[in-house]
Amino acid sequence: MKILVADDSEKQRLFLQGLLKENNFDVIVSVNGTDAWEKIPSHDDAKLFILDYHMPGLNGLELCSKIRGLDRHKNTPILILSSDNNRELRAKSKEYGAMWLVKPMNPDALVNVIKKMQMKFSA
Amino acid sequence: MKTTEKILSQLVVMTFIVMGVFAAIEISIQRQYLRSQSLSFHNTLMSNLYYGLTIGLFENNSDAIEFYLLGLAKEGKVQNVSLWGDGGEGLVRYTMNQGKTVKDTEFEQDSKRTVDQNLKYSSDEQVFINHSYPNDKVERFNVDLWFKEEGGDPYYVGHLEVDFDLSHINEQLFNMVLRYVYLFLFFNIAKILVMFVFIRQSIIKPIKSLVDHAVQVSKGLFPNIPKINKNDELSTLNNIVSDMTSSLEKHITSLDQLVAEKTAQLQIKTKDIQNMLQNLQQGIFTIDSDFKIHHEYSAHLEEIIEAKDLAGKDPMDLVFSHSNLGEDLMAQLESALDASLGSLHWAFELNAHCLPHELEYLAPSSGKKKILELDWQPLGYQEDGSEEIGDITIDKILVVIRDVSSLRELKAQAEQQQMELEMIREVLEIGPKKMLNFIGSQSKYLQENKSIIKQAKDEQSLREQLPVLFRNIHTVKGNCRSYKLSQTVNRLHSAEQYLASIRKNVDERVNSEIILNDAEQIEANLAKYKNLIDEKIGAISDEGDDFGRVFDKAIAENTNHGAEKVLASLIALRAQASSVQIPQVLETVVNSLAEISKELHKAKPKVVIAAKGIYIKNDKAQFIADVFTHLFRNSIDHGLELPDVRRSKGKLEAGSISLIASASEDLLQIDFFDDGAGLNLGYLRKKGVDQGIFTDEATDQEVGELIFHSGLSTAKQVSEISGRGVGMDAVRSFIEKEGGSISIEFSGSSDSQGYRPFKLVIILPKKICINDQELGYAA
Repeated sequence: MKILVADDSEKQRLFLQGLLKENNFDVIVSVNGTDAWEKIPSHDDAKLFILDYHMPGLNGLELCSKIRGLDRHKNTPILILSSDNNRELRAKSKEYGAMWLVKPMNPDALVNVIKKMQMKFSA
Repeated sequence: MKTTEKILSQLVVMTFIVMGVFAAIEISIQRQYLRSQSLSFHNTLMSNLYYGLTIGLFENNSDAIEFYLLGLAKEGKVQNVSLWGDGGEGLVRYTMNQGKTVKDTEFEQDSKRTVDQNLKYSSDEQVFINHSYPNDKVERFNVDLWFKEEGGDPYYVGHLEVDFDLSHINEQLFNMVLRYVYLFLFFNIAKILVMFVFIRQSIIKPIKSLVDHAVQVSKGLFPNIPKINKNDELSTLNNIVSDMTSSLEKHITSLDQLVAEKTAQLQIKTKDIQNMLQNLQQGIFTIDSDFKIHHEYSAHLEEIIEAKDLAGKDPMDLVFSHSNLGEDLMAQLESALDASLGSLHWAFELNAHCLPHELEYLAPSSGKKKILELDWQPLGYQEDGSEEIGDITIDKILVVIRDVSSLRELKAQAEQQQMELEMIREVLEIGPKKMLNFIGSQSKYLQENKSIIKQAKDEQSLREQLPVLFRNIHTVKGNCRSYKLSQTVNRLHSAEQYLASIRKNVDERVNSEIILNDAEQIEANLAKYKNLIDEKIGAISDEGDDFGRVFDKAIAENTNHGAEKVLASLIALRAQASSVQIPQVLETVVNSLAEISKELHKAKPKVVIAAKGIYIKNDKAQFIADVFTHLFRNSIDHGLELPDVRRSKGKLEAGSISLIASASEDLLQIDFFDDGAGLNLGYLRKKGVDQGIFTDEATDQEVGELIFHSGLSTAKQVSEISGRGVGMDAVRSFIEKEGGSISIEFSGSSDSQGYRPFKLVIILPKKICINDQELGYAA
């Protein structure tokens, strides 16, 4: 299962990459929103997007809105990582059908949920 | 009814078409017949007129012409007659008007009727009469009139044109059509009536009855439908409906019963739920999608959080803002809840770790502090056509709150009691007297630490004393471990950790408060045992001491009486009572070796103590125990190899540790050795040379001395058991304090890895023990 990760924090990025690779997922990392947007066409088969909210250029929600504009990704699961406690931002993410993941995240829960998604896709 | 109408109308149309075609054919035949009849009759009339009119014109006899024309009008239905001729008096024309003949000579000759070559001559045998139909109602006859005398040439005398009226034929035909229409109508009406009656009897009636039954069924009534024994579709349908109704009735009846049962159950359940919400000793509420507390919550919730009318309020303000959750955790909690509401179940799973399961709640009104346990459960609805739990959209979050304050208090009390029991068990296992002695002896080390801290003038002098502080704590820890005082050991371990780290980090400031506090706490821990013995275990009859006191008194009393022999045995008894044999002194530490070796993954060593006839004085027993606790531990930790290493060297898996004591007149010598690897002289030599303690030329004896240096451990890894690098310097320090000495004696030679077998020789002043001779046994 291919997962596209967009996070400008190198530490977080490496952590996610390590965590997901350890669980045998195919991880594509991008260093910010713009980078991710440029990578999407060549990784059109991504089954999940994990986007940090705070990124220079395109932030997680803006990127989310652009992804939803693509026919292929109308229903692809999107996780938005953030430590912001802002109901408006969360309302917006729900509007885009994305899931809001409160930082600090729980890596076990993340892996569990991704595995469930994978099972659903392969079903 | 609609079906019947359709059938009937179709029948009518069909009949109409068939009868219409038939009538049209019939009328057309009739018309032909009537016309031909009329034609032959008029032909005859015209033929009969021909000669009369020809002669009349030839002779110019108007009367005759008039007679014939009137005769014509009488015989046939004449519409128009036009006769013109060229008699002897010139051109003349006769017309008929209202039954009268009009003669006209003043008329313009019809150019067409001039004598021309196209005239047809009619002979006696054949009269040429042309007939035509200018319209539907008129039959027109034209005939040229010729006169011919016997033997003479025919002579053209004029022309006759007669229009007969045919309207009577059309009237007849019209009447005929009318008759057909009447017939058709009658026939159809009759047919409709017959069919209606038939359909009503055989179709509508049964259908209506079926429909009535169906209506009744739909109203929930189940009429008994009689079966019909006919072999037509309607009867079959009727019978099917009859069967269906009765089976439906059975089904509905059982369904009714089921519904009644379920409704009753549901009522009970609803009541139960309401009861539960009213009486449950749990605070239960849901947070709805507007992030507000839903109006259905358990009554107990109000009691727990000490507030009323909670419906519609923000749970963050109402509950969590009065908790010990910091701002950050509050923000995480709010984010996690909000992120889950209105999202898929996965969102809840991803954020569930931000929902606390326990918190301290400070009731705003009473100021009471409560410990609350919380459970979080998302409630949601399944997306259409989905079976995955991840597809459940969460619209509410159920929160269950329990006030566990009193439970926790009870638990703490129970733990306290449990601890006390555990301590009593420990005390009884060791023996109250021994325990008190132990506590007394250990207090000395702690006291020393306390006085060092209090006397230290500055950081520098404190730092210089760190090895002593550490050594004392380490010793107490080892001793407590031997006595299995696990709680105190844990406390000691953390105190030791601090000292170890502060010794290592030379630049860090020594926090004397921590060290002091540690010492006091450990003392307090030990004091608990003392209190326990004093209060709970009761007055300890220290028989030994009582015995001692009795004897002391007896000895003092008997000196004056000179009963020397009695006195000697009394002294011996007194000595025996106030001393203890070495195996007994070391019993605790030897017993603890099994556990320690297990921790180090080594086999339990065989311990050989050869110290027969040597009694250690009571007040020195703890000193001996302290020293050998170190030495035994060192042996197991550093000396004895792991089982597979030993096997590879051809040794038994279980090592052995030996202690051989012998007393001379003024000295007690104890040799202590194991069959382990020996001393790692290679490592020690390198370390000593590196630290500039000696040169490479140093003898093995000089190198071996290094183990008594402060801050050295030969163990590669610091273990929990010993190996803090103070073991041997502490031992030497204790022994020297008692006026003794400890040294290394090597045997054999170094192996290829630089290990050399050795034994420790401990020399102590004789005064710490009593031997058999002194006790008078050998005498």
